[in-house]
Amino acid sequence: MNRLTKLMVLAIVTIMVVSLVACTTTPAPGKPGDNGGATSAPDKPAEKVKIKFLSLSADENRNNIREDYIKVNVSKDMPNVEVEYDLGGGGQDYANKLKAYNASGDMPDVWFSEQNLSVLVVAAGNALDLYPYVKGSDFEKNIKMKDLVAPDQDGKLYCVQPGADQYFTPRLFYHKDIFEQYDVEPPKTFDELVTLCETLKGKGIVPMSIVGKDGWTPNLHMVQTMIMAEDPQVAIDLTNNKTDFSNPVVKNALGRIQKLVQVGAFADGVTNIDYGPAMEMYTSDKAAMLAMFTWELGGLESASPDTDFIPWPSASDSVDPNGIIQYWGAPLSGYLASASSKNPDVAAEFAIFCAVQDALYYNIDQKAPTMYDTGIEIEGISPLLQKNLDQFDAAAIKVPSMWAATFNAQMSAEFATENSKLLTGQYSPDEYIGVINPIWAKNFE
Amino acid sequence: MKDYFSNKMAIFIFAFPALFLFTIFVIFPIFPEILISFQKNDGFRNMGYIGFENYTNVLQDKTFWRANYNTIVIVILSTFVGLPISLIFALTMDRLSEPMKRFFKASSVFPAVLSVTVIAQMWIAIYEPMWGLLNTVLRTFHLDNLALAWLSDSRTVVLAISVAFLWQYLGLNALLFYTGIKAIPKTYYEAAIIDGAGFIRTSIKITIPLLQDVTKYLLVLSILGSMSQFSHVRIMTGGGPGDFSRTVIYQLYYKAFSASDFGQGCAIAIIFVIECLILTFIINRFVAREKIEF
Amino acid sequence: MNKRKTRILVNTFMILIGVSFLFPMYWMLNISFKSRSEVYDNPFGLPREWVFNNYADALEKFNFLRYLSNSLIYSVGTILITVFFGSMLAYCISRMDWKNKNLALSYISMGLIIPAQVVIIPLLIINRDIGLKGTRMGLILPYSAFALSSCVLMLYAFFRSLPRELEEAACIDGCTIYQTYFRIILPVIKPAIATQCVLIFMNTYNEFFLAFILGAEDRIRPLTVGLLNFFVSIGVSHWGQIGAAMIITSLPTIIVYILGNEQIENALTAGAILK
Repeated sequence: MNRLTKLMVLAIVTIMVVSLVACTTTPAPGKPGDNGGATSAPDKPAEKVKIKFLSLSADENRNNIREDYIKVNVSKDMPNVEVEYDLGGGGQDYANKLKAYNASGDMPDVWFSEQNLSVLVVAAGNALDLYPYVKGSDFEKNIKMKDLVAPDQDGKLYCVQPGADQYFTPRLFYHKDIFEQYDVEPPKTFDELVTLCETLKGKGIVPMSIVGKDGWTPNLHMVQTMIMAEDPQVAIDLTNNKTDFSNPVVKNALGRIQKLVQVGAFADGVTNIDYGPAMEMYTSDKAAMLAMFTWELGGLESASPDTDFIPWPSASDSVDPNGIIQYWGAPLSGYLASASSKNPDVAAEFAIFCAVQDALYYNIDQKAPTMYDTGIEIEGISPLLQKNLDQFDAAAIKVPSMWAATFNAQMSAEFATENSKLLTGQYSPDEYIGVINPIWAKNFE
Repeated sequence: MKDYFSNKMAIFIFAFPALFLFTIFVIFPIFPEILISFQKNDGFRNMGYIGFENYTNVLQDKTFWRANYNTIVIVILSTFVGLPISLIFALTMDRLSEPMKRFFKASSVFPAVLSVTVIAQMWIAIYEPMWGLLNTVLRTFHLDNLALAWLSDSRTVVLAISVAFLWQYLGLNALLFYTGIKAIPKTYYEAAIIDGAGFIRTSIKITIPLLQDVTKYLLVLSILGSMSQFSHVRIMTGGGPGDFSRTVIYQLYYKAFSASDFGQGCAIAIIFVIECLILTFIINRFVAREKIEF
Repeated sequence: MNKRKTRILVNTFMILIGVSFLFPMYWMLNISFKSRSEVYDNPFGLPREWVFNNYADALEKFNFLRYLSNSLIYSVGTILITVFFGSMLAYCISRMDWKNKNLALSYISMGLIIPAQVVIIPLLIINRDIGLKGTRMGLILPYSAFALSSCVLMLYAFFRSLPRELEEAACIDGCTIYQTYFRIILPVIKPAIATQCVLIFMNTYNEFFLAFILGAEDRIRPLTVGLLNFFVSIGVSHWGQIGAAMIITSLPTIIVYILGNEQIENALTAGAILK
C-alpha cells in the first residue's frame, strides 16, 4: 500500500515541479534578426505569404475600413499576401485579448492598437521597428505632419498611422431647436454654462449628455478640457511631466466638473451610462447638449439635423476658446507589426498599406482630412464639417490628449476610477488628487 | 474478496485521473501565484522579487478594504436575509395546494437557470433612474425622494447588486430546502398534530431542526458563492461608481488586468484564500455542530 | 384574527416573490417586440407598436449558433469528465481499502474553498504553457477540476450507503473490479449522478468569469460572454434587439427546463436527501 501512495505522490510532485519551472520562466522574446531566409524571395509566385491581422470589430469606423478598404484593396495592391482576419471585439475585451497575446509572445503579424496598449507591447519587445521600412518610402513623403514618421529617441518607429486622429477634437454639441424652444443662448464662459445647465434642468430636460461609465468622458477629454479652460499651459506641462495633479489649476478643473454634477448638468445615474445610450440620449432629444469628439460629427448631423457645436467655454478671461484646441492623436495609436513575425518585410508593408487604407476611408467616406495625403480632393462637405475644420485650423495652440498620448496602463485605470467617483458629486477634488498624484509620479517610470 | 477491495492497480486507476486533474488546475496554480505575489510583474515580465511589497501595498490600499467590506455585506445579506427568506418560502410552499405547489416548484428555479447576463441586465433596467421599474413605482406612490440612481449612488449600489444576486438564487435555495422538508418522514409530525401545534410551532420545533444537513450545505454554498461574487458586479456596474461596488475578486481582476499589476493581483488572491480558510474554520467551529467534511 | 392576518401577509409576500421569478421571462419577451426607442418611454408596459424583425436583426448580428455550440460543448464536456473521473475517485475513497484515503478526501475537499477566480492568473499561464490557450479544452479542464470537489463529496456519501453485498455478489459471479463498477455499482447511484449532471450543467452553462478571461477569442466564447459583447458593442442601445438576443440565448435552457422539469426536481431531491 505504501508503494502506491509513494508512486502517486511522486507522480504529482514531478508534474508540479516540471510545470512550476515551465510556468515561471519568462517566455523568450521573439528573435529579431531571423529574417535572412524570408527576404530571399522564393521563385514560386504561387506561394502566398500568410499574414494574421487583428483588428477592432466593435467600432463602425474600424469595421468599414476593414471590410470596404483593406479587404477590397489588398488583393489589388498586395497580391502575394493572404490575410487571416482576427476580429477582436472592442474596449476592455480587445485590450484583454491583446494583453493575453502579448503575455504569450504569440502576436498576430499586424494589429491595430491605441497608445496605452501599444506601450505594453513595445515594452515587452513584441513590436517590430518599422523605421527601416518607412524611411525614404512614399508613405513618409506623403505624411504632412513629419512627427508621425520620425523615429523616437532610440531611433525606432513602432507604429504607422494615417494621421486622422490628429484632427479629432472634443466639442460641445447642442440642439439648436431645443435652445430656441427654451430661449437660451450657447454659453461663452464656464459660468454661463453652469447657469445654462441650471435653466435647462429646471425645464425638465437633461442639460448635457456624457458617457459616464468608467468615467469615459472625463477620462478622454473633460478633465483636460477643464484644465485648458483656465490655463492651457498646465495641460501641456502635464503631458511633458513638468507638473503634477497638485497644481491648483488641476484642482479648479476637477472642481468645475464637480460643480456641473452638483447643478444637475448630467443625467441621473450618469456613472452607469455607456457610449451608446449617451449618444441615444442626445439624438432622441432627451438631452440638450452632448460632450463628444468630432469623430461623431457626421453621424450626429444626419441623426439630428438641428445639431450645432461650440468650442468648450473658457473659465478665464485670458483664454480664447477658439485659440486652443485638444487633439486626440498619439504617437503609438495605429498599426503595429510583430517583432516575431515570420515575414517581417511583408508584415511591415501590410501595416503601412493599412494606414493608407485608413486615410482613404476618412477622405472618401467621412470627408475628413488626414495627415497622410492621398491626393484625393475632399468635396461636398457640409457647412458644419467645414466650420469644424476652419476652427480647427485657426487654433494657434494644439495640445495632445493626456489620456491618449501620456498615460500608462495603471494611470489610465486609476484615472478612470477617480473620474467615475468624481461624477457621483460626493467626492472632492482633494480626495481625488490625494489618490491620483502618487500614481502619476510613477507614470513616466 | 479482500483482494477485490485492495487491488492496488485498480485503486491507482480509479484515484489517479481525478486527483491529477484536480492537482494541475486547482492546487498547483497556488504555487506560481505565491511566487508572482512576491514579484513586480506586469503580466508579461517578471521585473524582480520585491519581498512583501505587494502585500503591504494591498493591505494599505483603501480600495482593497472597501472591496472586503462590500464582500462581507454581500455575504451577510445572503446568509441572514437570503437563506431565511428561502426557508420561509419552502415552509410555506409545503402547505400549499398541489397545483400551486407545482407552479412554485417550476418557477422558483427559473432565475437560476437563466444566464447571469440576462438577470443582471434586467436588474439594470429595473434600477434605471429615469424610466426604471423601481423608480416608476416609487414615483406613482409619490415617494420621489426615494427614487434614487440606485446603481450610481455610492450608498445604495452594493445593496442594489446584492438584491439582484440574492433574488436570482432565492428560488433554487428554497427548492433545496423544500426537498429537504419532503425527506422528513411523516411520523415526526404525527405527535405534533395530536398536540394541535400550529404551523409556526411545528416548523420551529420539528422541521427546522431536522433540516440541519440541508441548512449546513446551503450555508456553505451561499457563503462561499457570495464571497467570490464577480459577475453581477462586472455586468451591473463594472465596480462603479469609481470603486464603490468592487468586491475582492473584482479588485483582483482590476489590479491584474486593468492596472496590469499581476504582482498585486496575485497577492490579493493569496490573501483571499486565507480569508476563505478562516471563514471555513469559523463555520466549522461555531456554526456546524458536527464537523463539515473539508 | 392576528394569526390570520400574518398568514395573509406571508402568503401575499410569497406569491409576490413567486411571480417575480417569472418576471424575467415577461420582461425579455416584452422588450424583444419593441422598437429601438420605445423601451425608454415605455420600459415595462406592453409594446405600443409591435416590432417583429428584432429577432431576425439580432440573429444576423449575433453568432448565436457558434456561442450556443460552444456553451453546449463546455457543459457536456465538463459533465462527462467530472462525473466519470469524480465517481471513480469517490468510489475508490469510499469502498476500497487504502491507507491515505481520508487524506485524499480532505485534499479534494480543498477545492470547495478555493474559488476558480483566485487562480485565474496562473491558469492563464498554465494554459499557455501546455498549449491549451485558445482551445475549448482550455476551459473544459479547469471547469472539470473545479467541479470535482462537490461531485466527489456527494457521490462519496452515496457510495458509503451502499451494502457491501453488491460487490460480493458480483465477485462470486466472476466480474472483475472494473466490470463490477461500471455494470453494477454505477447504475445503482444513477439518481445521484443525475443530480450532479444538473448541478454541473447549470454552473457551467452560466459560468462567466473563467470564460471571460480564458475565452479571449470570439471563436471559443460561450453564450454568457457572447451575449455581454452583444450588449456593449453590437446591440449598443437597441433594446429591442437586446431583448431578442436574450430570448434566443435563453431558449435552450428554457426548453431543457420545461422538458426536464420533473427530472430536475427529482434529481435535486435525490441530492438533498443524501446526508
